[in-house]
Amino acid sequence: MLEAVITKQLRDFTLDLSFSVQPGEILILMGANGSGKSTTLNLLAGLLIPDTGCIRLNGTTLCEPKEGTHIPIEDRRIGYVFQNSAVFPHMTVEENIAFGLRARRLPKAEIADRVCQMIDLMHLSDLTNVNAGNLSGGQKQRVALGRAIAIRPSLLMLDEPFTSLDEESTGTVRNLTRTVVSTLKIPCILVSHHSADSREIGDRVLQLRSGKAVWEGSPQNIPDDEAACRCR
Amino acid sequence: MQPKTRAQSLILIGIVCGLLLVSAFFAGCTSSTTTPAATPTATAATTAAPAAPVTTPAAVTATEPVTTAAPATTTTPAAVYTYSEGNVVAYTAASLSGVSPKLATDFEKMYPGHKVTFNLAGTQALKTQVVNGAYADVFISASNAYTKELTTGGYFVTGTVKPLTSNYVIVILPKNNPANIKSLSDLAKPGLKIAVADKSVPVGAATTSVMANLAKQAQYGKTWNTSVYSNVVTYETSEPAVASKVELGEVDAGIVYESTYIAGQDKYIALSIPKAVNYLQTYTIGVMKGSTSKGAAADFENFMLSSVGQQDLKDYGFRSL
Amino acid sequence: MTSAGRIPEKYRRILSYGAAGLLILIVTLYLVLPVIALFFRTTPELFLTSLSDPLVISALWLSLTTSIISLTIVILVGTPFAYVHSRSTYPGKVIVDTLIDLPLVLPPAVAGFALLVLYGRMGLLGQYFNMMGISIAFTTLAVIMAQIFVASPFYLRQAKSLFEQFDQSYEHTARTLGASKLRTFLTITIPLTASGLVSGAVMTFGRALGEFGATIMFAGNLPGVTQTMPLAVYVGMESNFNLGLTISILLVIISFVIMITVRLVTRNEVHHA
Repeated sequence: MLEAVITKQLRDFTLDLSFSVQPGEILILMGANGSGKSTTLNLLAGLLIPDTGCIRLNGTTLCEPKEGTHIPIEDRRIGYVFQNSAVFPHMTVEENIAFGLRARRLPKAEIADRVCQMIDLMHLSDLTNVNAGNLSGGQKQRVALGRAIAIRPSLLMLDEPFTSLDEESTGTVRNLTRTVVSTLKIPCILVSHHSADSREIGDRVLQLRSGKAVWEGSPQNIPDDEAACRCR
Repeated sequence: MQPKTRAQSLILIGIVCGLLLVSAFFAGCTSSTTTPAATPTATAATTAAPAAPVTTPAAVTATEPVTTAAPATTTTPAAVYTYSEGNVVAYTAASLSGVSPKLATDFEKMYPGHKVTFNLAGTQALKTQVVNGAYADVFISASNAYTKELTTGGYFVTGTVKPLTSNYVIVILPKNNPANIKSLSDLAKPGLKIAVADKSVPVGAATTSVMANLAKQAQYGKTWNTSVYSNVVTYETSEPAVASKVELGEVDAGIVYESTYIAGQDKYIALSIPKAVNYLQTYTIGVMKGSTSKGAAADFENFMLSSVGQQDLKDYGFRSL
Repeated sequence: MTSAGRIPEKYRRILSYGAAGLLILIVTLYLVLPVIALFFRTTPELFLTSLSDPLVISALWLSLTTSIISLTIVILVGTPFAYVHSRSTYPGKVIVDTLIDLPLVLPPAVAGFALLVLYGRMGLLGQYFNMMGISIAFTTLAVIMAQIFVASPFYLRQAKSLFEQFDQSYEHTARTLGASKLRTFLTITIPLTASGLVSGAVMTFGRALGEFGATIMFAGNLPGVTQTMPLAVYVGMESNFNLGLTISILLVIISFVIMITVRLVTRNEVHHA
């Protein structure tokens, strides 16, 4: 379970949030461009440091500025899928997925095992040894997702993962995300503009404006004027 | 398909035209000999009027119209001796660096309206430039060998090559004498740092002669010679460069011209080399055949040979002939 | 039916192709002809016999070893420096940024003189080295130091620019997956910026190999110790024209070999952002 209370002074406004995400729950983070969605993810990942607050994941404090606690990025066990997938173009699909496992120095056999699992799960069997730079958008996102899950993260975050995907790929990745989150029983935050995401796989929606939460609730009940702010 | 092959043939035409242009350009350039890179200017309007120069130039072949090698394709006019108020480009051995400002001032005093620009470098460098087409009105050489080479090559106006001044070689030490050198034999002390000029530089060749002469003397000998050379840390490409290394104190000794020492007695102390083993470097001055202001050039040569010029040189440590 | 006064399409095409072709030709020839002229000035036999001259061999060996050492130092120290510099903001960063370009603007002779005044045995720092028995000026070390001084900006600017423009989402991803900063740098950043870094390294090597002014000022000119190929060319031009020519041709050949090797090596790398 993720519990986050964070404030951070940004250029145009102060980010001030307090929320939690249950294991197996997908929280949809919505809001206009520049409202602080990506910043929130970066704060959780440790790429940014909050001014005040406390981030706890499964009871462990990841970051608490007042106490001076700050667990480095590489030790937080958070899976993060970026908008542009950020698959390493100089590595094959297999090497991409194995990257985090090799970084943690897991035994070779286990690495091979998990990578195999992920490749199957993400339907990438034909592409195992293909250079990741040569894949299509949808394939890249599946690699990114598999890569993030391979490390058995305690939290999964996706930042507008479907922006450059077509309908079909979007559907595929969306479903894979749902499956993975349910199976692993980990909290998940998905930043998205698509109303379809909220409807299809969202459990809860949090609407941001200028760094503050302005609405929180079930995807079915998204107020009309907020819903109208979807861009697609 | 058609536009593509057409484009290719058009590019081919362009290349051929370009080649023709370029070869024409090169044909034009290479057929001229000592044509200067600088533009030949005012002497195109040749006035045969012998306006009286300030001092009668006796030695200059004033009356014969001098022609440059006149190839068909260049536009250099045939130069004729004419008194012209002009700028004299003097290619000058670097050892005259110190005295050159004084020479310039005094030359302009003697010939109001004339100016001189010195191109100071090692004589070997100057010779290479001239041989490859550089423009000079006057050439002051520190080396008989190079003077001979240029004369044989026909670069001078006949009869204008005259001895100018002379210089002996001397050893200089930094003012504070860090290595405590008291005599020439001390130069062989192990661990010393000595700077000399490369043998292609006139003073470098002179140094080699002097060292060879000293080696023949019982007092010094071959071992001394070898030891001194093993102390050499750099072969500089001009005489002033040697002097500056000594002045900076970065070397313990350097071998330069006497004139450098005499003009800079506050910067160094010296070890003189006995005349018997020393090398007397004779400097020559000559007017260049390719000059387009031969009048002004001749005036400059006269000035240098006059009592004023010679006194200037003497003040800066050169030996009169 | 042609509109009055307009050049027909096909002639306009001829003109533009011809003009483009001419332009390409002029630029190429201007760069290539001087080099070709070198080859025309000697004969193959003369060239080959000069190659065995001890002066040529020692200049060649000295130039290659010092340039390689200089390049190695620049890469090993400069790459982490450029990375740290590009990823952090610190007081005075702008000044450091400008200072990196300093050797590019400084005339090499001035650079050499400055190095001499600093590291020479009478120098600001050099005097202390001298007291400890370490001489720097007039040694091969001085050659390397001069090369590093004048050539490092080529690599540093390139590396800095590459790292600044590098898509940091790659690095962030790697970090979240569990890679340390160092591991990320070595396995992600470097491989993906490699071809740019290599081209920076090539320019640096070329500059180091061709360095003259600072070398002769600071290191002097002593065959076998400090007489690099450019110095040998300069000296040789006046005393032994043929040797000077041979060394010039050698420098040209080396440069070409480097250029072609680099082209071949980096040709296979294609990276999408």
